[in-house]
This record gives sequence, structure tokens and C-alpha cells, in this order.
Amino acid sequence: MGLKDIQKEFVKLSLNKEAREDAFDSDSIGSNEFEHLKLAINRHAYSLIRKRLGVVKSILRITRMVMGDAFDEEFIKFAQVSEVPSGINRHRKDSIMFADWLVNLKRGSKLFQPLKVLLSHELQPIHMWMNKKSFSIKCYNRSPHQMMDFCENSLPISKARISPTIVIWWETRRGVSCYRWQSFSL
Amino acid sequence: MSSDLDKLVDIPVLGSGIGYREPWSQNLLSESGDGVDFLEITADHFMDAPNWKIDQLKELSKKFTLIPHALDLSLGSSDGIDQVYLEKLQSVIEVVSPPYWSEHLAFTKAGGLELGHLAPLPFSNEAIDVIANNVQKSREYIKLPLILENITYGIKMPGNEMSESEFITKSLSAADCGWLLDVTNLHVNSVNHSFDVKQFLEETPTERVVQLHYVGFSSNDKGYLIDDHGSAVNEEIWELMDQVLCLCPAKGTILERDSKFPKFSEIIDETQRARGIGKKYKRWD
Repeated sequence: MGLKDIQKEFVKLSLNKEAREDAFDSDSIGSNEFEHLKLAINRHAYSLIRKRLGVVKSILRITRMVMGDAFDEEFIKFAQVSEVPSGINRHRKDSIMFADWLVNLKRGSKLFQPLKVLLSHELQPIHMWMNKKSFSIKCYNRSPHQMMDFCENSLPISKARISPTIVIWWETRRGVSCYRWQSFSL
Repeated sequence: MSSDLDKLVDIPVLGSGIGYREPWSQNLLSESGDGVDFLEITADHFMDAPNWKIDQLKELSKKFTLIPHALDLSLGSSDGIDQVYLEKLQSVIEVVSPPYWSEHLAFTKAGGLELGHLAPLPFSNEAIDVIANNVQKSREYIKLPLILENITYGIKMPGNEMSESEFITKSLSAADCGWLLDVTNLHVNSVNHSFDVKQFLEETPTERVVQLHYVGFSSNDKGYLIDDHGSAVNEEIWELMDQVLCLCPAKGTILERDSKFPKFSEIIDETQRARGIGKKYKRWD
């Protein structure tokens, strides 16, 4: 096996759960150069996912607080079946893709609408970075800030009332993302 | 024609620095940042960045020498290097005008997929040729001297033909690069793969060392060491720093803390201690 094949196989096994299962099942013993590294490869694959999770957690900090350990569990499921994003913005893309996954997961539940708003709010600085925008306006049917307060006080965000909210974002010269919001009672 | 090794000798002494991290930006630009001699920036964090981020870089470069450290060029990829990434890297390097730049003896991409993390190369002649060719290609874009870092590895890749020390020696020679000796990675590998650090240093080209990396490590319940970049510098690392700075003509050291950030004053204390070791061996004043 030349370097090209070794690298290709290693990357495939590290990123793809099905490939690992195929390569390391009892019928294919001896057919794979990495067979004796089964444990190490599985450990490596898991540590790559944990590394991705660490970055996504720091981006979706409030959502992580809302969901608790279920956030980590869902990310591990998501990471095992989704394509690993590539390029300079891969962690940002990962966060956006995982946010979509969570929204789909909660579709039909009481958490769906509030979570959708919260995720959109948390991802706004990411979208601004990727689109090189220093100013943006977002409109929501609930107040992200109210949900953040709920979260800080360990209250369920599903209790957030309908309250049309406008959020204005801007970035300072030092790169700090700031926002002001105005909510309206119905 | 002068080699990179000749150019590296001419690099000015840099002293004791730290890896630039966002939470420390205000400290660094204030008086407390005077305890840092130079900064290493992660080049990837400034690629495709908005203007404010590039302005931040320019502001830092007024006070500090900035050394770009790239993570994802994948110099060990047999597929060759990613030209788009190389161009982005070149743009960042142009902003900071450093005396040199750094990457890893590793690969991160293969078969059109990205690992998102450094992976070890087989210690083989083929891998050495790939490194040399990819470094040559990178020089078409980035004319500055390049130094390459030794990484930690949990997996010994299939296809090993030599020891790690021989692989590093031959790779640096074939690619004509300096060595970014990561002292923590060396210690972690020596424990996890049971080899003698002193012998390793005798077998490797310490005259090529330009810069050091160091940070604390942690260990798991089986005694396996982890370079988590999130701990205070352990005494074992300080001892090894002492041995290494006694042996190697390093121009500077970089504290590479990436997580569980302590107070900035603790970072300054560690930077000061590294500066003291360098002074002891007359690496800098």
C-alpha cells in the first residue's frame, strides 16, 4: 500500500462510521492494513468528533445550555451521518448544518419555534463573518433575549411568549459583535 | 544559492512569546503585553476574514513581530497541496511581513476529504519525498523561510521504514527547512511511545531548530499523555525546555495555550520563566 492509499484509507476510516464498520467486521479481518489499529482508529474518529463538538458548543453556547447533554448526544449522532464540512469556515459551516439538524429534529414539538429563533440569533455573527457584513437586521416572532434570560434562570424557552422582535447587529472595529433589540407586545 | 538554513541563521532573535488568542488581545495591546517579546498567529484564523480582523492584525504588528503558523496546508499530502489555501495563506503572510513562517510534518487532507486535524505520516522515504515536493511548491508562492513542527501521534501509521528521529532529520534536510521543535509534543511522544528523549535529540538536527513550542499536558487514567493545550506548563516540560535550549540555537519560544485560559498574569509568568531559560544559555539577552 503506497502513501496515497494509506492516507486515503486513514481519512476515510477516521471520518466515516460505515467505512469503519465494513473494514473492521469479522469477515474482512486481514484485508485491511489498518485492522490492527482498530482501537486507535476508533479512538481517533471519536476524538475528531469531540473536537468538532467543542467548537460548535462554543458557537451555540446558549442552545447548549438549553439542551444540556442532549446537545452533545445529538451532535455525535449528527456527526456520524453527516458529511464533514471543509475549508477555512468548516467549523462555522458545521454549526450551521447542526443548527438545521436540531431544527428538523424538533419540528412539531413545542420547542420548534423558540429553538429556531434562538439558533438563528446565535448564528448571526457567524453569518456576518462568512458574508463579510458588519451590519444586519433580523426580525423574529419571539424575543431571543427573553429566551436567553429564561435560559440563565433555568426556565424552559418554550414558555417564551409571542413577541415580534427586531434585532440590529453591528460589529465594532475591534470585532466585537453587538446588537440592540426592540420587542413589541401583541 | 543559499539554503533556508543559511537564511534561518540570519533571523533576528525573537525571545519569549505566546500564541495570539482573541481573549488576550486587550492585554497584549496594553502595558501588560510588554512582557511578551513576539506573537505567533494562527494563519487560518485570518484567512477570508472581515476587515476588522485584518485591522486587528495590523494593529498587533505595530507592537509585535508576528509569526504566521498554518494548520491546514497539509504538506504531507500525497495528493499535493491545496492551491486555494496556499494563496489565502500567502495573503495573510503579506499582511504581517514575518521573518519566517511555520507548518507541520503532517497531513490533514486526502482523497478530497479534510480531517480537520493533524494526522501523522508514515515514517517512510515516500513521505519524505512528498514533504520535499510540497514544500518546494509552497516556495513558489511564499519566498520566506519555512520551519516545520513535529506533531504528537496516537497512531503509528502503516508503512513505517524508520524511526521518528530519522524521519524528522531526513524530512528537514530534504525540504531544506528549519525545525519548529515542539517540546511538549516531544515529551508526550517519548512517554506514549517509550523512547529516550536524550537519544532522540542526539539523533536529530538540533542545529536546525529556530523556534520552540511548549505548553502543559494532561494524562488519562491509563497514563497516556494528551497534549490538550489547556494546562499550565508541567515541570517535566520546563526540564526539557532547559535541555533543549542548552542544545539548540532557538531564536524564540512560543507558549501555545489554546483552552482553559488562565489569568493573563499567569501567561506572563510562564513567558518570563521561558525567557529566563533562554537567557541562561545566552540564546537572548
